[in-house]
Order: sequence, then structure tokens, then C-alpha cells
Amino acid sequence: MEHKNKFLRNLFIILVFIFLYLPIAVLVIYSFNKAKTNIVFTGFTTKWYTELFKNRDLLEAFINTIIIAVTSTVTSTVIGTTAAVGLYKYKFLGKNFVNKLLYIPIIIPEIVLGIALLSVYTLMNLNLGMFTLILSHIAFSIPFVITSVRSTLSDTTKKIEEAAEDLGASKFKVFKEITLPLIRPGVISGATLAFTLSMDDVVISYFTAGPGSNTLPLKIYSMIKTGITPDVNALTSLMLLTVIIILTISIIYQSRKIRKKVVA
Amino acid sequence: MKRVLVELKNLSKKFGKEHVIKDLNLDIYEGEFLTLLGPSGCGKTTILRMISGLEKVTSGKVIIDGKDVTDIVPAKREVNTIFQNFALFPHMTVWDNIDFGLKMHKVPRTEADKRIKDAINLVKLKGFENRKPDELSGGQQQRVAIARGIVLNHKVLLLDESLASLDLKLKREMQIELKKIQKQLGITFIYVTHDQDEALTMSDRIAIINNGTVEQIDTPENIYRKPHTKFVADFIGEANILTGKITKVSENEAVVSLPDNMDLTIDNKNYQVGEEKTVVIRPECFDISSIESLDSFKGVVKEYIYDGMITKLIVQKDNTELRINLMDASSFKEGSDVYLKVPKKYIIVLGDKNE
Amino acid sequence: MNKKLDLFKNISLWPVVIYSFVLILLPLLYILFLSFCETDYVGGINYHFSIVNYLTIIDSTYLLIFAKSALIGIITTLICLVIAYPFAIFLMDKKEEVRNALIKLVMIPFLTNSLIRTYGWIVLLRKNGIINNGLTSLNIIKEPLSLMYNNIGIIIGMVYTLLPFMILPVYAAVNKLDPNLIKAAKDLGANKFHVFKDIIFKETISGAFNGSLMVFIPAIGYFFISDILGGGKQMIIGNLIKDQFLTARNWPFGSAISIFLIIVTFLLVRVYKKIGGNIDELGGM
Repeated sequence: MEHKNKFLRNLFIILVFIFLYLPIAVLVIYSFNKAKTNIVFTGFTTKWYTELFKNRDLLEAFINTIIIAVTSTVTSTVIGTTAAVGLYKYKFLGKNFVNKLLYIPIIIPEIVLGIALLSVYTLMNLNLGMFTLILSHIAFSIPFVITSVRSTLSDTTKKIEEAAEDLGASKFKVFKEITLPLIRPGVISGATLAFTLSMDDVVISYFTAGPGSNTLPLKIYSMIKTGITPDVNALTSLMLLTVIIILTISIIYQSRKIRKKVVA
Repeated sequence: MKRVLVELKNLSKKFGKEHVIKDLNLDIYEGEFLTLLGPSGCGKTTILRMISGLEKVTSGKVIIDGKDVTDIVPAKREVNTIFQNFALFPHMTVWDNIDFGLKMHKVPRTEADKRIKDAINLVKLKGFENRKPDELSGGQQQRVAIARGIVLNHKVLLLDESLASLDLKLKREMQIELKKIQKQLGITFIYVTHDQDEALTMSDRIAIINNGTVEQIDTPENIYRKPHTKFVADFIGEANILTGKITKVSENEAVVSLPDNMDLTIDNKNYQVGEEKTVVIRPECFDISSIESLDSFKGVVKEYIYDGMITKLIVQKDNTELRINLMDASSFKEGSDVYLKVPKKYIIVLGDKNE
Repeated sequence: MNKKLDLFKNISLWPVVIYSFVLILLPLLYILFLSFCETDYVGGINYHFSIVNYLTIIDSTYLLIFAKSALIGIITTLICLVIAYPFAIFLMDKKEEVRNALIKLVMIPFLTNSLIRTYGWIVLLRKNGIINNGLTSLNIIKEPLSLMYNNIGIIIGMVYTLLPFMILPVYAAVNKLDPNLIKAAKDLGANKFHVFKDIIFKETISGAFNGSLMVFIPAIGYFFISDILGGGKQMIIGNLIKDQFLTARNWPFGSAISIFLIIVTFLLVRVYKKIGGNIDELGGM
């Protein structure tokens, strides 16, 4: 009975993962399909991967997407991390108000943030393009980084910082030598989140990109209407492969740490 | 007279509307072990944090070694703190924890290494240099915190409830060891605690803090034997505190009449008949007997509590309950009649300040 | 004396203050302002005060879209709840490192773009797609099913895209439960449904509401899913706003709908706080 239960539970977990991975798996499989349409599998080929590196337009879209994700992740992580620490440490006039503002991008529908940013860019006569895209991605990432870092700050952090100050460390030294190492898990997960949100985003990019910009979501959006070529499948597969490699490394690293903790 | 090393002048601290420290004055001598003792919330930790600079002063002055440091940041003050729960740097080894302050003060490497080694030897942590704090026991963490605090050779070390998180046995060991370290180094320790045992064992002087002011500052013995206020008498040790009136005065003696017909003879110190007086009698100061004698008064044993080294009796005298501690109480039991006397040298009369 | 201290304070706080005013407050105030203006019907804006946009919202055609969006949002949220709870509970049997790894696996699809994944669903769901081809060749069905270009397609796409946002907070809440509590309840003879209803669900309700917010709110705005899997005929609020900004170019009306959405969002967050939810945990992963 218990045995059967366990089987059913594992089956459920597996089914959820099949659901989550099915559409990507399909794209990976079709990236090796000889036929140009994603309907019937006619035979194995790797030509779409070589094709991909000839498709300058698609590659450019991909590179732009990466540039946006990296730039916005780095910027929002730096601003978000220092802000989380500052907001935790200091009191100032209007702090409550700023804290409330910071929740807004997390809770309101992305589309509202998207059109609001678009309106303001227009108001300021900013040309829509890479700059506004990066700015927008920074805008919706910062609150997530702050929330993530904030969750690793505690009374203990405060006390340890005081100990460092007491031993002669300046505010900057305290931040660099003590605070930063202590909140590292929060910073890493905040940065990961920012990067993920940026890579995944469609809605905000859609409104703040402008006609000339070429990013992956926009490219694919226009292709869906005309038909997606298999080199997009190849690109998806490569992206997925990269992610899986990075994640496997981090999972191994983390479980080692857990095991080490158990031993100690 | 010893030299004053830390001087607190008219110190006040407000948190919003709450007046935590009220116009406090305190002189702390070079090389002494001074304990700030008081109930939680009395402001003792705030005083310590104002000395270290981690808390800003609302008004008044903090003077360390003749220098006004009131407006100086903690990093630049020549004091160090050992925090409650130690606040060790979890991402650094024992060695790096101790080294941190030396690095911040840019002490030359060879000199620094020597001082770290000395400190590690002093707190008996040899062999643990490369451990991280979470690989150490509570007592070992405590030792790292001490080493980290003393390695800078500052003249004052502040200890904030530093032993509170240790278990009882370890606490006792560390009390003795702390005292030893303090004597060996000859530096001033300012120790904050709410634990009177700790205060009585370790301190040269104890300052009893209540409601943001110093209630009394004295040697442990005087604090216990000659409390100045009801609060001090009650806070330190056990006490029977009774209020009555002077009913008789002669040249050398006086009689204070307490409620329930307890008349006690005390030394006359210019008392007037009719004056209200509060007396304190420690539970171990009673003469107790099952036989009536001159001047004794009768009570009934209401509770008999065996507590190892001593036995605690609660004796009912009409409406008053008296706490009495005895080394040997085998001749009494619950319900037995007892006759009590208090030798006058053991009667503490509050308000006598001429000693 | 405090010059250094103030420097750190300034460096850490000024950027976030400027950011929150320029990139959050200003845009929102501006669309609030726009929502009280009027369109000049050629894509420009008449800057005089009017509440006509808010009156238009109450128009029956738009109310219908709102109702339909809400319904799609609610159905999506319920399906996600029904999947996330057993998933999180069953995961508790696993060792900590396995659990951590599996939760990361839930996140991986996000690093490809949601549009790409939505496209994957086209390949699966369309008339001559993998699912229909499979089912007909197995003789389970004779005629291909209509799995997309309708509400079914939209809901599949929404559930798929938003499921991780439900799984993560629900898992975090279930993970915090005291395992002894559940064990004790089972020992007391509570059957599984009661253990779930009286203990697990009760103790994790703020996690469930957190997830529901993170699913429901985007679900009424994800226009690209209804665009692609609903075939453009199926409008949700997201499409309506998008059209007002990019096609109809009636920004004031689009702004009014957005303000309306913000109000709805704030009300939902208020409910979340009332049932004991921690606002810091919203959107946390």
C-alpha cells in the first residue's frame, strides 16, 4: 500500500516536470529534424546548428538579449544590494514611502509597468531602443534584488557589523569585508532572479523596445506570425544546454556544502 | 587613589520619547573590574554602547583616558566590546577573526602575528586557528571573542552579557577565567549583566543600575551587606524588607516596631521616636530556636524547602511571611512553632548613609 | 565626524531613491494624469480634465472582456493551486539536496524566453500538432481536437507559464511546516483530506495566496499568450491595454484601464496582508 502510494507520488512529480519541459523538449527534438516545418519528423540532422551561425539577424537578437540581461542584472544587483543594506541600516525622511514604492513593480501587472515606462520615455523624448530596454529591465529587477537581499539581513548581521566597527573598521570596510560576505546568498539569488526575469521577459520589452530594436522575444514574436525556422529551435537548445550546465555545477556545489554541514 | 580611566558625565539617552538614561555620572578606575548590574531594560547595555560609541549620546559626555570621545565614531575609540552571542565573523577562521582588528589598525604583519599567537595562547585556543566559528563549541566561541577583544591592547574592554548564552557549568568556569585574564592584563573591564552571582564573583565594584540611573556603586560585599535602597536590597540576594516606626530610643539603642508585633532592637543613630524606618534582614541572619527566649518572637513554619546546601523556611508571623535560610533545619518541620531573634549587627536600616 | 558615515549612507540610498521616484512613481503618476485626459482620435492627447475614460470602462463590451479575463485568471490560479500543493507536499519526502535540485529544475525553463516556450505549445497543440497526431494515430480520437485558438489554449499557456510562480511560494510555505505536526495529526487518525484541509492548507494559506497573486495578476495581463494560443480573437485585458497603446493609440483610455488594474491589485494585496501574508515574500523565489 505504502509502496504504491510512493510510486503514485513520484509519478505525479514526474508528470509535473514532463508538463514543464514538454514544450522545450519538443523544440530541442525538432532542432534535429530534417524538415523545415515543425510538424513531421523526417530524419536526423545537425544542419540547423550550422544554419544558426549564418543567421546574423537571429544571432544579433540573441546577443542583444544577453547584453540587456547582463547589463541590467549587474546594475540592478549593485543598486539593489547597496539599497537593501542602506534601507535596513538607516532611517530617513520618506523611507516608508520609498519602501512602499519598491513593492509596486513586484505586484502590479507587467503590462502596466510596461505602458507606464513607455509613456514616460515618450514624455522625456527618449528614443526607444537598447537604452530604454536596459533601463526598463533595471526598473523591474531592482525590487526583486532588494527583496532577495533583504531576506538575508537580520539582527545578527547588524550585531556582526557593529563588532567590526568596534574593532576599527570604517563603514566601507564593514560593507566590503563583513556585510557583503554575509549577504552573499541573497545577492546571488537576487542576481539570478534578475537575470532570469530579464531573459524571460516579453511584456515589458514589447512596449519599451521601439521599432528598430532587435531582441529575441521581439524577433520570435514576429516570426510566429510568419513561421518559425528550425534554427530558432537550435538556439533554444543551446541556451537550454548552457543553463543546465551552469545549474548542474551550482547544484553539485550546493549539495556538497550541505553534506559538509552535516558532517561538521 | 586610583586614576579615573572612563568618565561618564551627566550622560542622557532618549529613544524617541523614552528617557532611557537620566543624567548619569560614573567614574571607572584604571585596571578595575566594574560590573553594571540591573534588571533587563534598566539601560545598562545602553550605557555600555555609549562608551563604545555604537549608540549616540543624547546629552552629556564620555571621557576615556582624559580624552572627550563623545563625538568620535566607534572605530576610533580605544575600547573594544565582547558582545552577547559573541558576534564572531562567521565567514572567517579563528585566526582571521582575531586578526581583523589588527588589519583595520594596520598593525605591521610580524607584530600582528605575534600578538595573535599571544592572544590565542592566553585564551587557550591553540590548534583551533583554522576553524570557523560554527565548528566551535560555545565556550570556544567565547574565547575567540575575548581574544579578538584584547588583541588590540586597548585599556578598556566592554563585555555585554558576554556569558549569558553559556550553560551554567561553563559559565562558572569562564567567570573565573575572565577574572584571571583581567588581572593578568591589568586592563579595565566594564561588564554588563543581570546575573547577580556573576557580578558578586567577578567584580571589584558593582554599579546597580535602575531606571537609567546608578542606584548604588560599591564593592560586592558592601552592596550585599549595606544596601542603600530597597531596590538594591531586594535585587541582590534574598531579603526580608519590613517597614515600621521607631518606638523607643535610649542612648545607644533604639527599638523599631514592625507590623505584627515584631520589635527589633537596633543601634541608635540619632533616631527620633515616631520616625518611619525600613529594615532589611537577610534570610541567613536569624537566630532560630524551638525554645522561647528573651526578646524572641514566635512564628510558625509554613513551608520547608530543601535546597541542597541550605534549607529554606518560610515562617508565618501573624500576617507577615519571613524567609529564613538555614544550614541545618533538621529540628524543624512544616507546622512547628519557632522562636526568632535577629542580632542587631545583622539588621540593615535603610537611609543610614554615615558608614 | 560623521562625514564618512554620511558618505556611505548617501551612496547606498540616493540611487534607490532616485530610481523609485523616476522609474516607479513618475510613470504611474503620469498614466494617472493621462487617464483623466481625452484622446483626440488621431493618436494625440487632449489635455483637459475628463472622466470619460472611466465611464467607458463600464461600457458592456469592455465589462465582458474584464469578466472573461477574471474568469481565465481564476481558472488558471485554481489549476495551478491543484498542481502546486500535491507537488510541494510530495516533494517533502525527498532529501534536502534532492529537493533543492528539483526546485531549481522548476526554474530552468524560465531561462529560455516565455515566447519560445509558448511557441513550443503551438507545435504540440495545433490541429496537426504532436498531441492530435499522436491521439489519432493511436485511434483514441477520430477528429483532431481544438486545443488552441480558443480559451483552452489560453488556459494551457497561462498555467504553463505561471505554474512556477505558484509552486515556489507554496513549496516555501509547506517546507516551513513542522513535519511533526502532520505526523501527529495522522497519528490522531485524521484522514488525509482532513490533514490537508485542517493543517497543511490552514498553515500555508498565506503562501497559497502569495502564489495566487503571482499567478492571477499576470494572467490578466499576458497578452502574448492570448495572442498566440488564443489566435488573436480571444481578448483579455492585456490585449485591450496593448491595443490602446500601440494600435488604437488611445493612451488615455489605456491608462484608465491600467489604473483600474492597479487598484484591483492593491485591493488583492490588502486581502493578502489581512490573512497574515508577509509583503516581503511576494515575488520572492
